[in-house]
Amino acid sequence: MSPFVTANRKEQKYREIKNWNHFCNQTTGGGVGFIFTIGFAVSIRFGSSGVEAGIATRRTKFSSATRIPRPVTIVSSGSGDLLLPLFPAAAVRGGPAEMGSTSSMLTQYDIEEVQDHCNHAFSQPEIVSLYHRFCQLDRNGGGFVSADEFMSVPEFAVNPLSQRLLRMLDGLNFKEFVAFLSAFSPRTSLQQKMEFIFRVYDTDCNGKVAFDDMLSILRDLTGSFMTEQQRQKVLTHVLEEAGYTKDSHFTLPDFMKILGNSELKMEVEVPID
Amino acid sequence: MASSSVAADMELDRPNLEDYLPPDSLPQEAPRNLHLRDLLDISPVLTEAAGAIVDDSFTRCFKSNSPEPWNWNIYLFPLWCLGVVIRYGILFPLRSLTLAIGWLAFFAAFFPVHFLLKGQDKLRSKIERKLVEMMCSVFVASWTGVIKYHGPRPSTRPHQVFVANHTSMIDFIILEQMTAFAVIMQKHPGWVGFIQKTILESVGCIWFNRNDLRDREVTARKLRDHVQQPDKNPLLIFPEGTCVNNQYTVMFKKGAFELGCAVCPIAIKYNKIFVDAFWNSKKQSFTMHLVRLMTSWAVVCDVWYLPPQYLREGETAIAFAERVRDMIAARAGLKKVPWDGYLKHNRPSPKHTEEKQRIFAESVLMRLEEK
Repeated sequence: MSPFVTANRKEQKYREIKNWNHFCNQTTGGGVGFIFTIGFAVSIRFGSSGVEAGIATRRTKFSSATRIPRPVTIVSSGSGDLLLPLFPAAAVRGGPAEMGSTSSMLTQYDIEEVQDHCNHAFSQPEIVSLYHRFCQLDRNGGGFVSADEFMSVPEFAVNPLSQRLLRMLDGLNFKEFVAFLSAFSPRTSLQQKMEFIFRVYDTDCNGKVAFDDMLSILRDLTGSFMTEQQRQKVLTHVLEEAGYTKDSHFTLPDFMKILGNSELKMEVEVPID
Repeated sequence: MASSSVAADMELDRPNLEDYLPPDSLPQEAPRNLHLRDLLDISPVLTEAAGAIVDDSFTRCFKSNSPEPWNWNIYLFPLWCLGVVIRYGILFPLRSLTLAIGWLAFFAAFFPVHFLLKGQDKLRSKIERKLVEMMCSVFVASWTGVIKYHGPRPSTRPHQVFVANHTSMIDFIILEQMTAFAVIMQKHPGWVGFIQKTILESVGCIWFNRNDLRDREVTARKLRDHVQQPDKNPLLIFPEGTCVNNQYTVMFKKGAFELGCAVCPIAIKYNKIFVDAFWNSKKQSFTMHLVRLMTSWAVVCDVWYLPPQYLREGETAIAFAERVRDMIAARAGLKKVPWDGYLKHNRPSPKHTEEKQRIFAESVLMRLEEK
């Protein structure tokens, strides 16, 4: 159903982290559950809210990667519960500083990987914050956010371009989700932002934006408040004024030339708690 | 009139969204000529969409707040464990027992009264009202409710309706323990539905299915009848229509504010020190919610009865609802968001999108004509 979820190891890991998270939550719901499986790191999960004590281990599958398996340090899920190492020494080492809301199910390794993927458009706390948001949006816990889940955010659903954006957004996993949003980071160059806009226009992905592409965006933006004739007239008019014709095709460099000297303010602040 | 107003609910029942949106999402005054670049630059719309993906005020309203973990220390951990043992091993069984005895006593008294005193309606409804109040006190005791009521107790007069912010169904229990209100509620399945049908009918509660438009019409008519009758219990409405996490308030539905009578606001604020009282009905059944409350140390809560408000001259029902919401939000320290709580179940109406399209189209046409 989702062509974007690739089955490579790293993606799998994200889903596994999620499943793990989900599993822990389930464990905590029912009562004092002690689940033992074979693995390396033993963690106790507990919190102040109830009967939450599930001892579980990461399955070996998780650490089958090339890196050396190591005990998980303080990790707290979005629900505020804690995962503490079993060994007191480690708990003390972890210290209260890491106990706050900054920790997540992501390890340093994961965060760096995501950062690399999005050209360091977001800082580490921002990635953590985005991960919480991603988990929140991903209601069924599948490891990717479906179009339907995006549409359940009313502020997004009322956006005139939401349907168009959904084609780019449907079924993104966390890494792709961050990559998508990186166009809105203040650290991203103007050129990358314009490339992003170009991608929104270029629905058939042929590297060219034609009259019809522009017309269809204009249609989304104006809806029933302009007639088709008016839209064509407006578009033809501005094209001719800029020295193009109705049959011109814009490639990315053309596009950047047109948008180049305007002030693009495409920045979204990621809240960090 | 009633029916038309309910049917139009979805369309008209909303405050002015523009008041809440950030100013830069509205088109800037730019009476310059229209250039190709202006038309191609869709960055504001994209930024708005991305902003909504990263963070949105609607989702925040329904986010459960887990209590701050405090058991991280090697010294605190045993204490916390001891707490778990006490809460689950001692408090929970004791509370369950209290609840069971309460129910037994309640049923033992309620059914005889209900069926034997058929002739004397006045006496019967009085006893039944007291019994329901007693049962609610038992419920409150079962989670060691520490509830402070501020302000004068509600009086039972006709032509008034009480409105309160809504966090969980326990709101109703907490308010009912002091005064027998007749409440308007969503139909529930399971044992809650059974209690609704058998017992709460005796205090005059009205329920409906929020997705059924015809049901809503009938409810509107029942409301009007109810407030006119002097011997009925005062009416309590949760105009948000859904449970919110007690940090935000969503839009108040205007139904309660066009009955033409005094509106008495009630603000409820829960202290999250021991447990979050928000009932996230998508994640938890009501039974599990109660169990969660019963295994916590206590439910701490403040209730404020605020002075009655009347529709001012020239004020619309929507403006009136907003004014009352302001009062409750200020008193309980809640943040306001413009969204309709029903969006939890439905998609937003295309009206909002059309409004954005209209503004954009007008600015394009205006700038074109200037040429």
